[in-house]
Amino acid sequence: METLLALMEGLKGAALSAVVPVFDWITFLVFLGSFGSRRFPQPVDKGIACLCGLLVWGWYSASGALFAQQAAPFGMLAAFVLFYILSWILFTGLTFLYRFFLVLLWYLGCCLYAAVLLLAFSALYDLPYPLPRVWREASGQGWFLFIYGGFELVAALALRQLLRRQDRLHLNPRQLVLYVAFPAASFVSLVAFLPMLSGRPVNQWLIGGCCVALLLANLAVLFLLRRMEQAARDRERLAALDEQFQMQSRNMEATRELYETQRKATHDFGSQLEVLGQLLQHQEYDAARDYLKSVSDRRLEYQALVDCRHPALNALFNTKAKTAQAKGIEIRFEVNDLSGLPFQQADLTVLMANLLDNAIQASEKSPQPRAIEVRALREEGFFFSVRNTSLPVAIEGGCICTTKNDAKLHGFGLLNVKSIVEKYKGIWLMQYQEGWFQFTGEIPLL
Amino acid sequence: MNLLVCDDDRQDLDRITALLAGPCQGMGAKLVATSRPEELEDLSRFDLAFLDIDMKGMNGLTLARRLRAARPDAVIVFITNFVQYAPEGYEVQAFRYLLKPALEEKLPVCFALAVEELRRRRRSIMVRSEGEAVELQLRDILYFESDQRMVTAHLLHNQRPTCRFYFSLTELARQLEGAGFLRVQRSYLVHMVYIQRFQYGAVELRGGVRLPVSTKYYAELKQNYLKWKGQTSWKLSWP
Repeated sequence: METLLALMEGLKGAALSAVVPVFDWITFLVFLGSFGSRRFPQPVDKGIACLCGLLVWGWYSASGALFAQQAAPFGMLAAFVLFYILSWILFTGLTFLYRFFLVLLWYLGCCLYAAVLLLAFSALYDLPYPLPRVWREASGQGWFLFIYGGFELVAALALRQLLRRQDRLHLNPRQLVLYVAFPAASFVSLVAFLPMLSGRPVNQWLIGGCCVALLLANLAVLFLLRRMEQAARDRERLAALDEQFQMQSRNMEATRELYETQRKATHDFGSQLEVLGQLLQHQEYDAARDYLKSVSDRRLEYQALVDCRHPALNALFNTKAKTAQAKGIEIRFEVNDLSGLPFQQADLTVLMANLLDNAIQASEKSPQPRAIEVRALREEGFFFSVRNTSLPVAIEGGCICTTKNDAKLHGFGLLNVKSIVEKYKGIWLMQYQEGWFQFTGEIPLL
Repeated sequence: MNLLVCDDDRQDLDRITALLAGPCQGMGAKLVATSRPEELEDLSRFDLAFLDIDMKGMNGLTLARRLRAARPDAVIVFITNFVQYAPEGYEVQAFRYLLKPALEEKLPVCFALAVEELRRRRRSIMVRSEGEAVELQLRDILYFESDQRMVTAHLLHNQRPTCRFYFSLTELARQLEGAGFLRVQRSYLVHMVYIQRFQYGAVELRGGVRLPVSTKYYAELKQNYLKWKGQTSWKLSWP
């Protein structure tokens, strides 16, 4: 009977002592699992994981919990190295620096978490420090261990969920160094401060090292900030470029359509001539006359053509003109010879396409008579101006204030226009006056 | 006011003339219609012209060029079966293009607009110079120069290159607001229609005249110039 009780006590003791390392280990696996992939196939991997778990349990039992390692001078470092090696055994797909960063983060997290809980415990029971003593007390309490493990597990699973949604981080070494700065500084600080809680004297040099580490960490934050801003700008630029690309695709499609229409018209013309020829050959002059009249009366689908000697702009102007006319908007052009413009074709077409799209959309909503005036002239510089009838708009600070529906249109479209004009060191202006909206600009020719 | 209508197709010519007869009469304008424009002698008397582009004898564009040369401020409207916006049209500063099939619908409106444009180009101001009242046609003025309160209007006439009168340049600028003048500097009020180059520090007008531009307000002035240029399709050729 007594042996049974003793055995049960022993088991209970073992179980209690297993809680912390087991939960720490599970957290470790979950955390690293979100970043790296398992090295070994499933059944083998599980086996190895269990073995490592046992090892950790043994280590904890031998030298106390993680933060208690500070009892031994390099205890914390040794624990860190142990976990690093274990991570290397189980997980692959992580560079040295990345792995270092992750293990450091986890280790820090665990230490700080445990420290917080213990401090709370000591405050609750009014236990004096040192911390290892508090730990001995706390780890004997089942409920404390329950809270410890429970929260830790919840945190780990939550983290896993959060991290799963994002893509794997691709960080180059230089960036990683910046990221590691803060955890490393925290680690050094931890090593410096924990002895205080044990009532041991603090190493001055260590405090000094702390300060330096924290300073570096804060500097790293500054650099990281800059990188983030750059990244945001790049994303914006990418979105604008994507918009430009879409526009180019649409232009190409419209040009293709134009060619198709022209080809068809030419073909029709050929067959009409043939019919006419046949009628004349058979001396059916009346029928020929009637046929000619019927063919001439048929209006052309699109009745104006723009020729500025620049093929891409021609295609663009003609396509947009057709669209405008289909919507009952009168469109007029003033163009001269634009063939020698030194700008990139893509830029030119995107510029004019955006302005014309804006004009058509705005003019569509305005009352009759609807009109658009387009000017594209090569003189002292490249002068362009698009005027359109429009409902009143407010222009503030170089932007049109529009309703939400138009926001996207006016958002990227004009942004692209402005960026292109600025790219070539040109100037632009907008105004609304007496029912007409005008966007005018000039780009110098050098 | 003298109106010219040219079309080598008699039917079309009659059609256009019929449509314009009423409005012309209402304005007291004289209409000259011909299908053989090469026979016309003096083109400078025509203020307004409705020309067919594709004529067999003298091409509409050639006629327009001649008319433009003879009468820089004439308003020219092209009538055609197929509109083509091209450098040639810009060269002669075509005011509008009208489609033959749509004449009934568009011609009266276009006529009204053309007359309005003509009035704008023929605007003049009255000044008192050397004791007598003088009417200055805006289209003849290159720029105004001011010295104290003495304003000199630099004109394009050979007979009378300048006209001096007492006036405040600021008041003059205010009166001519919207007429295409820009105060590039305290002493200079420039007719924007004649600007050939607008650069930092200097503006170059037709005839090689260079005037200083206020560097302080350069950006604003350039903006105003561009704004005006975007709205106006009237560029005067050197007479």
